[in-house]
Amino acid sequence: MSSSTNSQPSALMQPSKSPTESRSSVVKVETNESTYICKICQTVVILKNMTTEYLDEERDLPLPRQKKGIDHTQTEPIRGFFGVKDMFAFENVGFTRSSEGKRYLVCGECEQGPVGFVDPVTEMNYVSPERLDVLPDVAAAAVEAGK
Amino acid sequence: MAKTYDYLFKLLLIGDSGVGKTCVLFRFSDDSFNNSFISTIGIDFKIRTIELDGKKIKLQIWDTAGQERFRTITTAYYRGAMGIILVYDITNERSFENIKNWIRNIEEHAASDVERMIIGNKCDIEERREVSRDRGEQLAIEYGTKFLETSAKANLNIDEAFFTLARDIKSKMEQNEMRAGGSVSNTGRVNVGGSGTQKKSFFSNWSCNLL
Repeated sequence: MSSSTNSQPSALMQPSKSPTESRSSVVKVETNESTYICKICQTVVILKNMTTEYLDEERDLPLPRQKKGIDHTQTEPIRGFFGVKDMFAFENVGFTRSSEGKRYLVCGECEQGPVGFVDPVTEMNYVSPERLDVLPDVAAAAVEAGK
Repeated sequence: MAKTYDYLFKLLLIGDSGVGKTCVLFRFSDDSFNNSFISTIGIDFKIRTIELDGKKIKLQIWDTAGQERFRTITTAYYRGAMGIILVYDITNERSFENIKNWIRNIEEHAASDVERMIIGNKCDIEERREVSRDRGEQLAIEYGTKFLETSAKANLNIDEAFFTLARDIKSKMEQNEMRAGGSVSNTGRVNVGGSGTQKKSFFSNWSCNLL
């Protein structure tokens, strides 16, 4: 689970201070074994085996659709993100401008999201498998063949 | 990790405010999406991956983020740019006239060999057109660039624009590589004001069967 600090507003706002120590328990060296596509337009966001770590932690991500007339950003907790430092590891992705010190990742084609976030301290890019779909094996084989 | 692509091109969108640069790159910026989180905070840049002649190319595409309003587009923004898409709105005469100013700005601040392209974007209905297609084509000939009319809303020719620019940058790079062998006499630089050479490839209409 997310760290036990009492600052509720956004777990994202906590800088991940010491990469070696506090992150070790929640960060695993693990790559994504599936190719992930946009849930809306099916565009490939990231090919398989492109990420370098798995962040097994809960973070708040803004809801794609916000209710009108609300003065704060509505979020939901999401657990588990694949991380990669190199932004060019992505096939199609958009980087948002900063909102409350945070930048988010969106589909590079239709811009739905956020599908992930950028850690402001480490500048690691994290994508949520929950906000994306897995490319079925048959289609994945076709993508591979077309390389 | 091994590099998984062949080329990386940084592209910029330039033009007056309100010509639809943002909808060229960011298509969900129209009103129907104004309650989405993303359209509220805006997008800085995108990474798109395309394939040309079997080569995998990463495009990093930047929008000016409204800086053009303050005339603060300077060297920093242009740094590393290999391609620039100049955008005007076909329903806005002034935005068309200003393309010349933008080209001057590019000549002042961007790398001299940056690849350029002019786009007449249709943000609005055809009946409100102020700039004929012909004038757009003539301007492009004058500056030796390619030209396309696009409709960001209808998603017409947007991908073609990026493909065309990427293809031009790629061939220029390959030419430069070849020139090491001494076979290419051309300088490969953008020939400002010199029209002739690019005319032939105007609207070559290659279809993007790669997408």
